[in-house]
Amino acid sequence: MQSIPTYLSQRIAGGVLPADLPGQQHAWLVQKREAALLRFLNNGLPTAQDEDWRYTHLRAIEKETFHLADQSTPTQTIEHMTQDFCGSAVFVDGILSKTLSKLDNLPAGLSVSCVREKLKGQQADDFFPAMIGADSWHDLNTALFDDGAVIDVAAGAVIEKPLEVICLSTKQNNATAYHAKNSIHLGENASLKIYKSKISNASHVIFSTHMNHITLQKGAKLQRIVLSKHADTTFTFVHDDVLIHEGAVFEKTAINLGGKIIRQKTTMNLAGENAYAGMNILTHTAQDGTTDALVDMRHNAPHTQSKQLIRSLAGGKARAVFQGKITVAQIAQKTDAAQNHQGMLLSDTAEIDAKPTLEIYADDVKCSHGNTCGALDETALFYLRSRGIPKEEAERLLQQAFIAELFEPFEESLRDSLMQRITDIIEKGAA
Amino acid sequence: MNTAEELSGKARTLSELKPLTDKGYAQGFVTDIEQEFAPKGLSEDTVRFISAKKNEPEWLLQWRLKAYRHWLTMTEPDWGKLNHPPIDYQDAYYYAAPKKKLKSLDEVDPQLLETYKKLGIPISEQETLAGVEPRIAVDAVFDSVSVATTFKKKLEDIGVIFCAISEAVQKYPELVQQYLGSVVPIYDNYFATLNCAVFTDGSFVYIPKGVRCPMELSTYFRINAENTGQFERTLIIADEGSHVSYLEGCTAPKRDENQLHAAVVELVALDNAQIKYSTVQNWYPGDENGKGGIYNFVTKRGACRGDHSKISWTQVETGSAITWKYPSCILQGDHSVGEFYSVAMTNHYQQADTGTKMIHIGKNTKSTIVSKGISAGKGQNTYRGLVKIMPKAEGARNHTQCDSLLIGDLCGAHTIPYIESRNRTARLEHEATTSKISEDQLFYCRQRGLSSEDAVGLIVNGFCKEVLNELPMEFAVEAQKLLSISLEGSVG
Repeated sequence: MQSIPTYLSQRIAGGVLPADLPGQQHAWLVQKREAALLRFLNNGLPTAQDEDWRYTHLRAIEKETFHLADQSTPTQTIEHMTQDFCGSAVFVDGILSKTLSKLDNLPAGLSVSCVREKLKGQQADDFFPAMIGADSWHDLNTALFDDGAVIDVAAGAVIEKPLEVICLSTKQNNATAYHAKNSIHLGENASLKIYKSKISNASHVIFSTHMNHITLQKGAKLQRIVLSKHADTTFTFVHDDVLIHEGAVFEKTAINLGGKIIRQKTTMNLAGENAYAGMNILTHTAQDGTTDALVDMRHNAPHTQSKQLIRSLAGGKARAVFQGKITVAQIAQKTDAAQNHQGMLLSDTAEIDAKPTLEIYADDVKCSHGNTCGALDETALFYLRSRGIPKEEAERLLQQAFIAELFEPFEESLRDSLMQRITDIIEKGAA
Repeated sequence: MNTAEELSGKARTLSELKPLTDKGYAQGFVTDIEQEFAPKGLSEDTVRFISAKKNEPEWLLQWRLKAYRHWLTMTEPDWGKLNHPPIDYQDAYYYAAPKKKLKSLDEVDPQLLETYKKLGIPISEQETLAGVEPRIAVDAVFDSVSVATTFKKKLEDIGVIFCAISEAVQKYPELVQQYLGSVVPIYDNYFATLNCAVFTDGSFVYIPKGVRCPMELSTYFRINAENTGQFERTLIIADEGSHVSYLEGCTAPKRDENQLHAAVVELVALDNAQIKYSTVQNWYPGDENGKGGIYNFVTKRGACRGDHSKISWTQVETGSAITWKYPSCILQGDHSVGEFYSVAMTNHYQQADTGTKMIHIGKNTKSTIVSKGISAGKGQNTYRGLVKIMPKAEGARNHTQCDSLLIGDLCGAHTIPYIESRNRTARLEHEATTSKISEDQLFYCRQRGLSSEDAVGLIVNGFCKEVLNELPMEFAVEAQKLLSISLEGSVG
């Protein structure tokens, strides 16, 4: 069995939950946490024998010593993805910062709170539904979560301006660890955009788990962009579980840059007719880390549609992994599912692994997947150079073209600013 | 067209398709012949019994025992998308052979001759017309032994060895010892290791340097006896600059029980050599309720050891209750080429989990994978493949194409391709589609005067064309027929 980091073995020593967790007064929560902890201790961390962990090896995590985050003042400056937002929730080491957040003038129908807030007082309901594909990380997170965002949009509320969520890490010598549980709920025909950025400085050593429970009621629409710039010593395990009801539209764009072990899992349940899920992922890893994107798309109703576009770039000694799965249930006739993964190796020591799987039990469906892997196109490179463009510049242009497709659906200003930021981060390592 | 109309149109087509179903499994008869068996069950004694029956040298017996002892420590793999009751390895005979020993082809038991005649396999050399060059040499394996090999003499004249592997062990022990287990190691996997312990017969082929084998070599496997497993082993070595095309066919009687077939095939291609290996697998698939049928757990692997060598696998998998088979290529030599063309069809309760592995080690190695899966009835069909590029495989190239066709809404089609690339100059492409036969296609064909069953047959054959084109002509015709027969009862 994979051994757990020392910080963890201390924190859950003897199988007893730490006393500093929020919501201790709620019996249901304590029960839930205890059950999860027991499962975690029984099952341990996944190993290479687990099919889903074939390519992502967790040994590196043993070597680091983590400490509890101390929520001191962050030294980073906040960079916004857009200037025009309806509200801003800032989390420091996983805890909502009241001073940095701007949540006073939220538009009608949108409520943004945090898990700690929700758990205050003597009355609190269980607002975390069960997750599809819950694994050991989910159990660990359930046992130890300290905070997270609780976002709710009332039925019929259409929020035009995006909500900004920013995750910062404090700069300290010790490695920090935190566990966040987020919940996003959109009522019938509600609509929301969430632009989230998770930025850590080069000196940050972080171990974190993020479990995101997302529910879209009938006809709701959620656009979610998550830009993550991980330090080369970051270990992050994310799981988005999305329930998409009839006619609802879920669109996610995830950008993962850098990191030591980054695991991003998204499970989507298209549960009602005409539900749609769109998933765009950009992975760029160039040191010695592993970035693993896992997408589990489940078509459980007729006339549902999904589209996935994934671009992986790996340089240095890094490894980029994509594991995609489309499951079409017998009832889900007229499903239209497409998945496209393209990998690009930037060095001779990098590795790209891809496993795009189709599991189809209905006959009247349109399902396709494409998967390629290679280097920059020599012919294209030659063409640009023959037009007088220097090699480095030509390579940069081609790399940009390779990832640009992911951002095509966005409006121009957002697309440009995102591309600019991504290019800056990739080239200069700037946050 | 609204959904209701569409549905009724579909139901109509489906009911019209029914007559297609009455052809049955023509190879399902049993030959009543005197046979001798090993004691039932599996133990070291069984292994020794088989080895003694074959009069094997000590090294081979020790090799078998080593495999058997290791097999006891292994567990059956469960990662395939397959469901079956646990296999009782003790409830089977591991050796069954016709009693009469033969000295020459003329002495073949008339009943056996009759059996092969019924199956349409020529195992008598006289059958070829005078003055016409024979095109196929056949090795016929009946349960655990090879009963006849034709045109041996003619092939020997040019140095080609084509005989039963048990005979090769006696006559060419150094060749067998050098290559046996060199491609599929003795501890490779559960079923291969079991095969190492109890393999009974199979074919051995050696093509000497620079020889282009003048005729197709073919092995025909037949399971006849009740409660027996067939564990054959085939070894083909193509020496430098040689060329060979090899065909394999298989059938078994209709029985209510599940019989186990766990074969191992090893191919070795040296510099500039080419091996083309074609299979038409038509083991008894079980009846329409999923009763009976062969469990087909097969390990097939080829090593392109030499530069510019080439191994090509073509398979048409229509039979077996369960197919678990991944013919693979290890592309060691620079500029070597691996190919995999596959049609897998599952109907009724058949399950197939099949695909390939292409391991690129040498520079400028190239591989092509074309897989066509057809699921009908309650069949489950999985393509599972791996393309692995090692760091030194500069300029490696792979193209993979997987298409699935679904007929009826109770079946499943699954695609599980793995890509692992560790060389930036390598280029890999994979594409997969899933579709069904559209009403438009059927309507078009019927409008041109084709019956429904002919239309479906035509569309299915068109869907598989890229693969069927790779088969030698005689096999292509047989495969086309098989596909339409296997579709029977798939609808309605």
